Amino acid sequence: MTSPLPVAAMQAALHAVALQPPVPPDVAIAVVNDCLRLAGRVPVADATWDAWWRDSHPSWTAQVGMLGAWLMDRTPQGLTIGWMGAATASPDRVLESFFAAIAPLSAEMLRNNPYRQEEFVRRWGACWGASMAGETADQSAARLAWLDYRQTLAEYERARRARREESRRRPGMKSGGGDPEPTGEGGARRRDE
Amino acid sequence: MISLQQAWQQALAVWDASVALSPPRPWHGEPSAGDGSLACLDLETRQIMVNLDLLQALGAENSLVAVLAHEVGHHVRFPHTVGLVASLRALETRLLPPGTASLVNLFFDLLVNEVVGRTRAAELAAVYRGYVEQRQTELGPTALFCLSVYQAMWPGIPVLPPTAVARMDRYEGWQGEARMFAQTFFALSDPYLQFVYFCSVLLRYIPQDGGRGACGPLGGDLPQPAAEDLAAAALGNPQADRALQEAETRGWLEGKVAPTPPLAVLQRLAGPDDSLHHRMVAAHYHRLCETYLFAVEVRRPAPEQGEVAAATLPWEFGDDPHLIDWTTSLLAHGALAPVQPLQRRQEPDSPASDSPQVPELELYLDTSGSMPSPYERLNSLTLAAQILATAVIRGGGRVRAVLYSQGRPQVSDWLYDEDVARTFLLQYAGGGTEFPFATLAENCRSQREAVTRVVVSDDGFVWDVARPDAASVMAAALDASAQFLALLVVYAETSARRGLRPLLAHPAFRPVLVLEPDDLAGAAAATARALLDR
Repeated sequence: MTSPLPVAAMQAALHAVALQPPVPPDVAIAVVNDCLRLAGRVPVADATWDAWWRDSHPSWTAQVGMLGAWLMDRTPQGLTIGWMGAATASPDRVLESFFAAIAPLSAEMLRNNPYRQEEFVRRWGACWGASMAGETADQSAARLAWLDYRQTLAEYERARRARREESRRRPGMKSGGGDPEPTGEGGARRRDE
Repeated sequence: MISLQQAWQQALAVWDASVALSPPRPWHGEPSAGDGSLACLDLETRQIMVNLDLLQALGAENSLVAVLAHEVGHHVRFPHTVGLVASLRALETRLLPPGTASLVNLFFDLLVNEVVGRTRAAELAAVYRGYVEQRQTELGPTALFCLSVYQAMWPGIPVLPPTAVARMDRYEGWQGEARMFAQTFFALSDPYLQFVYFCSVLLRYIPQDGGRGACGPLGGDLPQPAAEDLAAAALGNPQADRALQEAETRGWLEGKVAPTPPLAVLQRLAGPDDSLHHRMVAAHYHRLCETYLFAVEVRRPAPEQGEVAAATLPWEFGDDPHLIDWTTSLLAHGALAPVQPLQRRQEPDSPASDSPQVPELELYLDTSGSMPSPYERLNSLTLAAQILATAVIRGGGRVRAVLYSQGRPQVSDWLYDEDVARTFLLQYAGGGTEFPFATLAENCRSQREAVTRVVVSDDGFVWDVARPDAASVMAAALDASAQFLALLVVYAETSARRGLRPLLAHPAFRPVLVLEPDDLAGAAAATARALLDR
């Protein structure tokens, strides 16, 4: 039985990492592979990492850098090694699903937004089948659903479209309905004309 | 329901702070009357007052700790200072349409409730839910959207009843927007950036009438900034400007937010409250004066009004024996002086400047329509006159002001208090220009000593002195004055000097001419320094 993830403590560790200079992707990849080795699993092949890197969105290098820096901390590392060892799915699949799940989370969000940090931490644990300390499975699922940035963004899009239409009809200062947070893709996306 | 004292201790524990507040006391108001506020802070007694009757009527008897914690939160943290409230109120005049009710209280409520809600979300939700169920027609969409943010923050704890949800459904995607807001707003660390984001989102929910409904059960409980705080805030600050820039970059606001002149901000802040407007404008001009009067001298106390001996009167039993003038008594009654003493009282004398070096200043301020009202736009003549008056009074002198435009001028007494002087000089008439030569002549006749006279005007004065009836009055005034200065904004210096040529020959006359109104304040400060250095 693997150890449950203490969300608040792990989030604090991630926040501390976020304040430091970023870890280069090569180093981060090495850290993740080292964890897999220590867990008795086969590390992800270089070609796979290269493919993920090549085909990824712009935030991927920052996300993997954040992951690697976080896993340098003894406590997240120890927990992760335990989960990696106990997981039945292949590490390639797990990591691929993790990166897909956190794709909308930009580097700036991960640095500054505690909700996005919490989502990052929870998704990492959930991908490896870990439970969240002090929560039932339903509670954890509900919390993750609430934090789901992709889902929140999708719901927010309706409001944003409506807001733009309303602002065209409203005199005086107009709300641009821009991105709540920068995406890290060369600055905030500009509003559609 | 727990006791008020127990609830108070638990409320303080929420913030883990010691506060300089007296324990709360109950306020028994009609639950259906008033603005529906549950609690407020009495700044005189430094006591929180909580409406227990209303709390019960809302069905939130068990929420007393949360309500008190909410009030404590406003006191200890959100807002950190009254200055921040003033700054945000000034900032929102640049973000929201004119006539919009202030959102600053709702803003700080969000911050306070996020902290209180970490342990007492259900209690807060009960208060809001009870209020909405009973009085929801009083709450506008801005307040309801804030409640929807609480609902998003506390999943599983209902805040909005179905009827309120139905009212909000006219705003497409509002629930998703509330969730996004909750996950973004509290992650922003800078309060100005938070506030700009807050306004940019709530802008959508402001109704056409500006949203002047009730502020909710925990609203209306912020400390109100003084006129001086608001006047200072109207000047803006770099943090607010950076927040606006970042908001523009992130696309929160459509278009650039142009800087707003401070007097326009003050007008928006005052709304229909003329008294507040006047106090803020006075404070604004005071601050402007201070930027020019950087060599502030230690203020000497206003000269004591002297006393002179009055005529003698018979002294009677019961009068103050110290008032007996024995010399006069002996001279008048000889040996009977002890039984028929005379007393002499002291009467106030007209005070004079306590230093012959510091000038007595007679200011003639042009308040005609050639310059704007100082309440609407910066009036350079008014500011220049205030700078001169403040400098002379601070130097221990006194000032008499004559405000003229057309018709009868307004003449002050001799003024010794700079606040009184500045307030007097803020008056404005508009209309045409007609220099009050009759008043000048009368002042010259009535004044025993030569005073310094300064006219603060524009080309209008040059035209006025060219009038046929002006020559003799001006000649007499120049003879009667220690100095006669004309501090003028003119269109062209050469033609102005040509118009003033008859006066230039007199040694007492000095023109101080500027071409730009913005330069007049600096010229006034330099003139003041020159006057005080003589």
